[in-house]
Amino acid sequence: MAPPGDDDGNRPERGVDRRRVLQLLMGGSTAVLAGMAAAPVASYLRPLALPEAEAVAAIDDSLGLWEARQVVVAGRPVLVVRTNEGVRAFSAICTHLGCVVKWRKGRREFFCPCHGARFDAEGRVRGGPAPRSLARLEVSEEPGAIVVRKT
Amino acid sequence: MSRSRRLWQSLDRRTGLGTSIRRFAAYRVPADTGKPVSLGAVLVFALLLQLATGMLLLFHFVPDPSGAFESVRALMRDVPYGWLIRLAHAHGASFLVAIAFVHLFHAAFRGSYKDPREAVWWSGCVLFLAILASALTGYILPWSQTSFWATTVVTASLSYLPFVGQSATEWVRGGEWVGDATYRRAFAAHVALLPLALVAGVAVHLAWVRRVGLAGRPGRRADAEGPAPIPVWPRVALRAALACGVFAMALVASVVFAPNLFFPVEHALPADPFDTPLNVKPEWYFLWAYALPRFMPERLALIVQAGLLLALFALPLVDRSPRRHPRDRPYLTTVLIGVVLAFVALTIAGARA
Repeated sequence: MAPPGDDDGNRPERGVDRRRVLQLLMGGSTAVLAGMAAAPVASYLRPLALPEAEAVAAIDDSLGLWEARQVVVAGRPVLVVRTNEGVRAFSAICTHLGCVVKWRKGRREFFCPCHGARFDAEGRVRGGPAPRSLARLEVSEEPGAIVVRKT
Repeated sequence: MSRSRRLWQSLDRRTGLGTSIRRFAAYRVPADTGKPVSLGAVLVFALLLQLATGMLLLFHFVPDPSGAFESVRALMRDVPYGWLIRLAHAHGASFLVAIAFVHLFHAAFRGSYKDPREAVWWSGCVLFLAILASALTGYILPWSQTSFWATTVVTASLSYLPFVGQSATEWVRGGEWVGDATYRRAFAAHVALLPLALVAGVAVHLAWVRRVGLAGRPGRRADAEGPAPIPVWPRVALRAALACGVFAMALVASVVFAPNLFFPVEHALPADPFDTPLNVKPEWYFLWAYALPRFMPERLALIVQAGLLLALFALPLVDRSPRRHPRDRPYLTTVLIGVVLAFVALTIAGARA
């Protein structure tokens, strides 16, 4: 930026230049101070990481064909369902907007009460607004128990 | 001179209180101000009522997920007149939002946002959003099933924002899931941040209204002169007082005769993060946004909402002609009517879904 001068192209007086420099210094230091105050506040408001909850859950193996049971794995709801191809475990969190899906035995599907998303017994989207399949969890049948793990 | 008169005069000399009141009473506004309803005055009144009842609630309310629901129950059953304070606050929120909607559309139809009143419009838009944010955060605090699941759905919808979606959701929630951190954020915003912002915002809004004057009823031609302005006292002030009185009666009537008007059954159940009840719905003023994703993909619904927000603020920049009468700007009037009809239709669709 050219230094301001009068109509005759004279250089401005020294005092004016100095004033401009002081203004810049004042403005700059205020901005820096504001930033220094804002940075800790921004960090302060950042979400805290929670300690991981128990990532394993077990139910007894009385689960009948096409029946489902809800368990809690790592603090979140999980649905265990026995299909004719074996036992499956899915996160019960709907992939649309996070509501907890329910198992409809008669229709052999998961149903979300919030916006009506539906998933088949393999967790795949069958209808409604859900963008993705339900997240699948590792499940194993052990003597007398069905064990679900979040890996 | 009587003793009380002397006391008043000595107070006035030191504070200028009387002068301020006289100046306000003599302030001239368009002759039809407050006809048929003084929406702005009722809004200020409703907001003051929310502040008063909200402060009173804090004397008994336990602001923590572990105790909130039980404390609200105690407020309703055990605390003398707790039901009155609590219901006045909860119903008052719905009334406040409703009147704010009408105030906003009234200003839009009348073209009250035009030069030199753009700043008044923008401050009003910010206030409108702060009112919606207050309603949303307040809905969380009882930690009922509807509180919990409405919060889950609203915060999850942010995850469809491009690029920043997931982090926006987590930032608002204060963690990966809705929980204690979410609750504390909502509480801090609802009882400290938003009330302060609303009070300051109203002060700014009114100062700017005073500076540029009320727009008044638009004439058919831009240069049309309306009737001569009149002072605030007595006619306009009494109209405002009457409107506030009618509002107060309507609020009391809804609290006494229809206490559950705004509460679904699920609002009477404590939050359960492992069980989403059937038919979770937001409060009536968010039903339109709840219904949107039923007709379009989530991302498009977000774009529509962002577009509406942008249009709200951009209105004075888009419609710059000095003509204010709705019939002098048929396109915009048509669009506004369309928005109102779409809002009503989506609200009905959301309520029925």
